Amino acid sequence: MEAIAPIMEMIWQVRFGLEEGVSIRASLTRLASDDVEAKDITLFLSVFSQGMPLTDFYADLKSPQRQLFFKLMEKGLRGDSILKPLKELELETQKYCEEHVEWCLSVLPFKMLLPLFFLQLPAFLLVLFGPILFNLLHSIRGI
Amino acid sequence: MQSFLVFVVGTTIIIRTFFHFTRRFSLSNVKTNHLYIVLIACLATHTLIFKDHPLALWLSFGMFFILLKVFDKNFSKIMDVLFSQKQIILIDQIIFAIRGGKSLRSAVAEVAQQNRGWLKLQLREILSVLEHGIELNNTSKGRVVADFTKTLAHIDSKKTHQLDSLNLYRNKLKTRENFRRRSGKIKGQIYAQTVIMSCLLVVMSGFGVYQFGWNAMKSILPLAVTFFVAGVFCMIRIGRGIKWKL
Repeated sequence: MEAIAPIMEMIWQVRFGLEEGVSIRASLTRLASDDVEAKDITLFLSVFSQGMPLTDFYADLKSPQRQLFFKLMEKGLRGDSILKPLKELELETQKYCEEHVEWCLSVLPFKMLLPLFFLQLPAFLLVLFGPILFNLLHSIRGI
Repeated sequence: MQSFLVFVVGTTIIIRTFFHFTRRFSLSNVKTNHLYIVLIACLATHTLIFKDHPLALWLSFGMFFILLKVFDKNFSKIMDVLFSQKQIILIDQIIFAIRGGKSLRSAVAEVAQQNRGWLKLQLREILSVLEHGIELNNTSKGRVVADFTKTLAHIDSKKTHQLDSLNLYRNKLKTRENFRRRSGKIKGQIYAQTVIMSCLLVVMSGFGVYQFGWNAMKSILPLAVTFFVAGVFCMIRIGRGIKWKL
């Protein structure tokens, strides 16, 4: 798991770019060159540049946040102001990410129990009781 | 004679690799010379000790060379981690200096004076990039340092609203850092459990050897370690399996 969700990287890049006067296209191109969801961004830019409808592209995206982000980018590239809705999307996505982290943290101990019980605990038991067990087996065989 | 030859060839190759390394670390000439002296002295002593075993000498020189190469390859990552810890503090210092009436370049120079060691040399290098407009090599410096320099160069070229841009950049870094800290808890938990368990195994193995003797433990330990390592791999796989679902 990356430390920062790719969608957050995308939102921040465009948001800070806009606040600094960098165009949306330049921000998206930079994201693609930095290899942050390069496939989706390149596809989006090429479909948009050809003037084709983006409905199929939106349908293929895996999350509503991503769909909303690219819909905002489309609006922005057409010349609409998107800074305010982008900030709202950022807050929403950040909240979602935090909830996801919390959920992962609550589930993680249970997932970690499996290797702990089936692999590491036997290793500890072997170290602690292995020699006694081996001695016992030897004694039984000796009898 | 053969040992001397190994020493000369090995030392030349190692020093050559070390030269690249010192340049990347922006070490001063004095420090570099001191390091060279220590390195040559260590290699010479090592050669004297193993002078009757040329094969062992070759192997040790080879291993040292590989270690240096591996460290050199991962150096930009280490640099990124070190620099990203100081980045926000540096920007704060630059902002304070600009608020005190200095230009961006003078502010960077002042901050370079305030800092010490490796960071000071990095800042001096960044300052020379700002002054002479040289492109910083992304691969040799690490992505964070390169990005920091690029952003400062961009802000420097703007001439107006430099303080606003710096504040914005700081805000960006702070937001990222806060987010990273929160989401880093998952990795932290996995690593913590792995480290604690490893320590526990070492202690228990020590106890086992002390209590039952090496002969009783030597057949058990490899099996226990295999089980344990398999467990660690599973844990790492579980950690890697957690993905952002958005």
